[in-house]
Amino acid sequence: MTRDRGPIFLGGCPRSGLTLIRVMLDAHPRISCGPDSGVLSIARAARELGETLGDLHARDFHLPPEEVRANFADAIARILGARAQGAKARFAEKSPLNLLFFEDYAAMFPAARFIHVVRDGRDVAASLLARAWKDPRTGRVFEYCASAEGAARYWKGMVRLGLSAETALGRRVLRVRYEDLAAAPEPTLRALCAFLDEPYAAEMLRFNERALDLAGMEGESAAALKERVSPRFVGRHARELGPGDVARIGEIARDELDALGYA
Amino acid sequence: MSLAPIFIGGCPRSGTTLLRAMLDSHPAIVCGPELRAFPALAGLSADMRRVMGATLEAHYQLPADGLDRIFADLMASFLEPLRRASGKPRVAEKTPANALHFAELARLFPEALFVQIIRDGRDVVASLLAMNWKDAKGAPLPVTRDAGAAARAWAGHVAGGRAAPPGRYHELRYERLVADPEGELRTLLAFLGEAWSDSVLDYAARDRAGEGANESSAARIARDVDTTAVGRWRRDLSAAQRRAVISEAGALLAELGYADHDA
Repeated sequence: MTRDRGPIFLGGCPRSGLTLIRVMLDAHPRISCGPDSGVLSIARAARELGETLGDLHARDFHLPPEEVRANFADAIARILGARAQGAKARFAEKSPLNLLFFEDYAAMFPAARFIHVVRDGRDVAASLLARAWKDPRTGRVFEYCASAEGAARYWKGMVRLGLSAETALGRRVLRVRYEDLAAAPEPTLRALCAFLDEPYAAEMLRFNERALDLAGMEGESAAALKERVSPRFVGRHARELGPGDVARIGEIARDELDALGYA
Repeated sequence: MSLAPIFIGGCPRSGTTLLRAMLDSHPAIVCGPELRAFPALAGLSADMRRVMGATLEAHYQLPADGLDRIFADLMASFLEPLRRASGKPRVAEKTPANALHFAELARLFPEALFVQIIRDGRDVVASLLAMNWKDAKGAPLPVTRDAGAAARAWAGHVAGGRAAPPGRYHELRYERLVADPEGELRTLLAFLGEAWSDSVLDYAARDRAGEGANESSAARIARDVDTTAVGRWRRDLSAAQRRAVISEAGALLAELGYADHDA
């Protein structure tokens, strides 16, 4: 990793194209991006320890906050860097809830760049409702997979997290719309690469020709990722959701749909 | 060269601060006030291995021992500045709750040694119930309000500490330490592989101004050790509280020799 090209963190509501973008990035000759790694729990621990014990550590242990932060950053970098074993110049990390930690990562990695992946909340809802994901602790289907209202509120909450991170981090965040990627993949990827200060690589479009190492929830996207990106899933809500549900989602998430430019 | 700290733990109010002051007075050992970071980090290490271990191994070329080293290095980074600033060769870390994580810490630090100080659970409960400790929201901690909760915490620390590998684990009793500090400390120092030094009996004379804002017993260790706190439960615990303690920890109290007559 060169000094001025830091790690890349992706976040966004599930079913918005995060896995798609991460396999595209992983296909780039200079970028390594694996499945959700869990490093956000390290970012969370860093934040909590800093908040409760930062002063104490500085005073009694000769541990100024910036040094503690750098040590946490090293731990994260070593985990993410292990994937490519030095074969790639940069690493990226994708987890939906990275949105909660964009600012923490930004403090840990001054050169980091962030991608907020968004998709029309009505299509996201349709995708969520097609799944019956269960909470492993209760055995019950998550609210956001169980009803249009649940899905809308979940999407709304995630988008608000992302918008807040965009505000806090300004030019360090690029918002990428799934619909743009689907309709015009090459220009969208060129813009993404320019944002990342990397040359465009056509391999990104041909991600489906590689053996994809999907893990965990990413398996849900395996079928879709057998083919190149196309607009075939855009507007799925019109086929899959009743007009009542679509209207309800539109009411609950009106502000966020507007903010992202979805009619 | 990897760090081989001395980890000190034990239920709060068992003499951990006394022990750390004594050891810190040894010419070869530095022990700061409670770092309070390792319980969270050891817990995170174990959780990450359990939840993400398979993914990290398969998708990040990072087997469990590689992840262990990353966490060990992160945790060592919290102790190294103190050790270096002290000019002493060895560092000890005392946080009561370390005892709950001795097994994980032993895994992460294969050369480390573990010391638990155990005190009569009844006296520990009496002491806890007199503490004014509050959580982040300002509510009193349950162990300071409920004899049963306090007894469970005591038993949990004893058990957690005893999960350390037998060859690297040493137990001290508070009651013996205050009655015969030299005898107990000679045994402890032999276990630690350090020469005797009279300075460990001199700990009260050291100037600790400004240290240990974290430690409830900071003022107490400025006075010489005595046995006045032993058996305080007879004065301090009501009959109902005694019953709660026996109910939660009676077997362990008996095993440790603390369940005498007036139980």
